[in-house]
Amino acid sequence: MTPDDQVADLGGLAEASVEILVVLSGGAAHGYAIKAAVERETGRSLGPGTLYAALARLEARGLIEPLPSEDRRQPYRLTVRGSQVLAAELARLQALATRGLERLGRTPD
Amino acid sequence: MPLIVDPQLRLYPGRWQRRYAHELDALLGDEPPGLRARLDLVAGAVDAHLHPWWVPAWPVVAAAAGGLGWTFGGAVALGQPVPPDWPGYLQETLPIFLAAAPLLLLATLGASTRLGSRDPATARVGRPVASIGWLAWILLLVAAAANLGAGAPLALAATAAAAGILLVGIALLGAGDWGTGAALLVAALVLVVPAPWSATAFGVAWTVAAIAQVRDPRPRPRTTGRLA
Repeated sequence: MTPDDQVADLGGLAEASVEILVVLSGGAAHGYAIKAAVERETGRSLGPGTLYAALARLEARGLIEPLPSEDRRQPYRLTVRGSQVLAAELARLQALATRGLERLGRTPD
Repeated sequence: MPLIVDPQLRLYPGRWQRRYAHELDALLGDEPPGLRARLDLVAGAVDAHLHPWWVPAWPVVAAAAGGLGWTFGGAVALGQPVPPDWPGYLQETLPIFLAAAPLLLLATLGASTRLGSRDPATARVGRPVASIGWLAWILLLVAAAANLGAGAPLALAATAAAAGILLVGIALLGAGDWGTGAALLVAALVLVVPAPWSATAFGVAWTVAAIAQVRDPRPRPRTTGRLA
């Protein structure tokens, strides 16, 4: 499966998953911190059920992994595979945005 | 395992709870959920049941029990005097089908859990179509058993269930799950064949689907990522 397939295969959770991976690309974070960062960076609400559905899928795919934790707040970090998949997905989104803006007669910022 | 405070987390599968409930519970402690978050948790619990990373037992049990029940009901109907006069000669077999139908509804949903975290569009469409078809079918079987008559709508409901089963089967085949996918495809196709043997064949196909699931447990065990 290619990195693009990995994200497309996440179905309805693809967008939330990419947002979570972007947060984790800045360093390890636990559930509440991920949720707060996604909401701060995107301006959209991320429900707790959606967050953990996405985290479970990302962990099952080996794109993120849990770190040892002393309390109930479980931090996660990006794996090498997760970095590769995220980079490929962001490049795809960037190409899409560039193409769309060009067709609208606007230049990307 | 730490004590789980939020009772709504009990909606999640046991295996999921053991892995994630303590940390989700901590999150809910940090930010007490409102109505919208509560509904999101219900959706998350349904998602966890439908997309496990482990191999749950209930889809196999439902497929085997429902398949064998339907096979038995079909065989009893075949043994009835001919010519068939719906629902007359089938009346006494209806309780068997009524018992097996909810199990096969569960089996249809359970078969799609084999896709694991993959969820192709065919499965996303197939599940609700099959669920609506099965539920309508069950209600109409009850009506038929009560002599309320349900001929044409019953066939329509069965066709909807068959369409849903077909889509789930196609999704499984697309994921390389040949045994279960092929069994569901056969089950869906024989269901719409207007022949006396079709009910038996439908039951046998589901029984084969249960055997295929035992022989090839899915989803595969999770992989572990590695940091450099």
